[in-house]
Amino acid sequence: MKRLLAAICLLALILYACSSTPKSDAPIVWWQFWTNPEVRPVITQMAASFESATQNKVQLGDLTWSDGHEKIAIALSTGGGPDVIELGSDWVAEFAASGRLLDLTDQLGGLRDSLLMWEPGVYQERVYAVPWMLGTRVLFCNRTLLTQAGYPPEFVPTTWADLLEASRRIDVLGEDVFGFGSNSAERHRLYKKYLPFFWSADGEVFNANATQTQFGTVAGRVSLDFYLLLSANGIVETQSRIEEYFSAGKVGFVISGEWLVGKLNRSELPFEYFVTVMPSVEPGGTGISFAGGEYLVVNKSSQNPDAAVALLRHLTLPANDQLFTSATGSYTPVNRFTAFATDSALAVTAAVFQRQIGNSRTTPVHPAWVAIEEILERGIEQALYKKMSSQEALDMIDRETAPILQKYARR
Amino acid sequence: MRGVSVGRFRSSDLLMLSPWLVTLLLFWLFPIIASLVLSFTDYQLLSGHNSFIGVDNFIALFSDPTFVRAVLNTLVFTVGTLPFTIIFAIVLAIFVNRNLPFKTFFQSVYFFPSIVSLVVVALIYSTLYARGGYIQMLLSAVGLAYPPEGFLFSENTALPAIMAMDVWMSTGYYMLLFVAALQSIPQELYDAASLEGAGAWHRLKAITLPHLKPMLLFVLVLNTIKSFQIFVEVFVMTKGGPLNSTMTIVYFVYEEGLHKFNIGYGAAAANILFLLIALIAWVEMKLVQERQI
Repeated sequence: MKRLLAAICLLALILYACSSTPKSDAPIVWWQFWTNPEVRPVITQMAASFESATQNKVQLGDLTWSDGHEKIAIALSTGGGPDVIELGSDWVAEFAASGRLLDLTDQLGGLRDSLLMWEPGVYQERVYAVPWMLGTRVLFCNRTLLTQAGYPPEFVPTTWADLLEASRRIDVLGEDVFGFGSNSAERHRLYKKYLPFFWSADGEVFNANATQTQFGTVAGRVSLDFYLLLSANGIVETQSRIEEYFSAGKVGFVISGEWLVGKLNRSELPFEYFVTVMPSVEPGGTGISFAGGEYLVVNKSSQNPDAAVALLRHLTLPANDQLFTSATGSYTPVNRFTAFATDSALAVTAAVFQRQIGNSRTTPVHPAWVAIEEILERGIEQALYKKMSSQEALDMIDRETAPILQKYARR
Repeated sequence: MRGVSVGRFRSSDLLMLSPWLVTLLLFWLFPIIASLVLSFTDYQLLSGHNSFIGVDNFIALFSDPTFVRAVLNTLVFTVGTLPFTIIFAIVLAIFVNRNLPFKTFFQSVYFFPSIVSLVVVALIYSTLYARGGYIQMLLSAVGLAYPPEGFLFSENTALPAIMAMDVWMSTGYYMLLFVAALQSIPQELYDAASLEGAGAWHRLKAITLPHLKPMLLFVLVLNTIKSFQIFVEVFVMTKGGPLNSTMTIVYFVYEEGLHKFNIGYGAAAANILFLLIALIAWVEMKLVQERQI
């Protein structure tokens, strides 16, 4: 028995020796999502420049979008986890409400004036996240198909009626040609396609005290009916396949972001295309788009919060913002002082994205957004598959989201 | 080896067994007990909020249409794939067990799908099932009907499409098990039967199938458990859609527990799955025992 006890003690000592690391040498652990070969070297470069500027070490951890949300939640819920984390804009409220993020409100100084789009980073009037990368969606149009459908070369759809009519005319061009590319049966994407139309029709997701969603309103119905009409005059597929179809010249219109420009410019296209801002409901109105973004947060349990906040400041400096936007192919730098330059061939495209970001909105800030989003997508899907009328689907969404919102309102 | 006795074991035995025992306790027994305890709470992962709510999660689950749909889909998946997988596996096993030229080649070809990553297979099948994909083209060429929106986007065809892929992928593995069972049947039995004038059908009925019975029941249990745990195919191909037509119990547990972080609710669903599998496996094991007596 003595030998057994001695063996257990020895094992415990070995484990202790392996796990103990002097706190002073502990690096700042930064978890981020950029693993593609165009961007990852820039991440490493920015971390290295921070190390040489501050004597702090940075340890990078890579996440993927398929399971990053779960990994972050599990890490934070243990009371440990990384010091700095990249979050999608629609996750910030969820993590802020759980009390796991450091309140950055009093540590930002001039940063609040230099960076854009703070809304998703603010929860209950306190700042928990710093914007790091911004992006929006615009309307990609196939000029060649428009010409085949009888439109003059200068035609640009500016209203919903224009877009619907052009989709109709393209959709009848052939069996393997589609007017509009719309999303369905794809979680976490469908709502991003519907909300821009809802916002453009002056819809507001929540009522004033966020106890009720307002999809069952006229704005909700008009926008859903319009989305259904577009879907009926096109192809319903996953976003990646819609983009493949567009890249093959088989879809007239698709709503997408900067990444599609990069993809299109890397290949020899058998057609001409252009981008334009989201169409408005009526002539002279404003078409609203969906803005997404990447935000940086600091773990409340960080052993070195000052250095973590310093890393946030470093990453959003104009020089680093320029490096990062250039690597990601973004047209919308997060820092208003960043000198943005693109080659002349893409200047018009960049201008469209920059114009659109001014008329873009982010996911409503709510800790239960993930659950609300699921109900919203389920409702839209019911209408798309003709299981319910638009109004029934939207009323169902309002009904099912109400208990969730009221639970949070009571807290 | 000497040592102090603890019950039937000496301390040295326990020391030798400790790596396995520690793994069992930490990674098997503890999670099972923890998940059982969690299923009676409303534990929220992020906030850490945790209070005992009795059987509320279980009551809520049975009135949750998504969960009910998930249970039904899982049962349809299991019942719909099991017979096909087993029949195809037996037929292929009998085929490749004969003295044919390129026998090893055929065995390898049929087994090949089982060694390819499930994610890779699911991605390839997503392309095959897509609008304008090869399967649509094939059906169109022979004048058969197909869902124009693609197999995975139709409420009626999404689950059968995943089931077909699963049968294709699993058959080779079970074929190999049946080949092993076939090779253990003494050749003398076939020789004697031939001398008695038994034809191929009679030899199959009187010798081959009875000798395959233990393996058949083993495959039945194994495949049932695997079918109840279907997840990767759904995660990669449909995310439970369209209209929850491919929602399965494990995917439901994942969505609730690891996406919405309703750990208590997800744990309750996982425990129902555990009970379902345990019950069906117990029935099948009983069958095995009866057949062996």
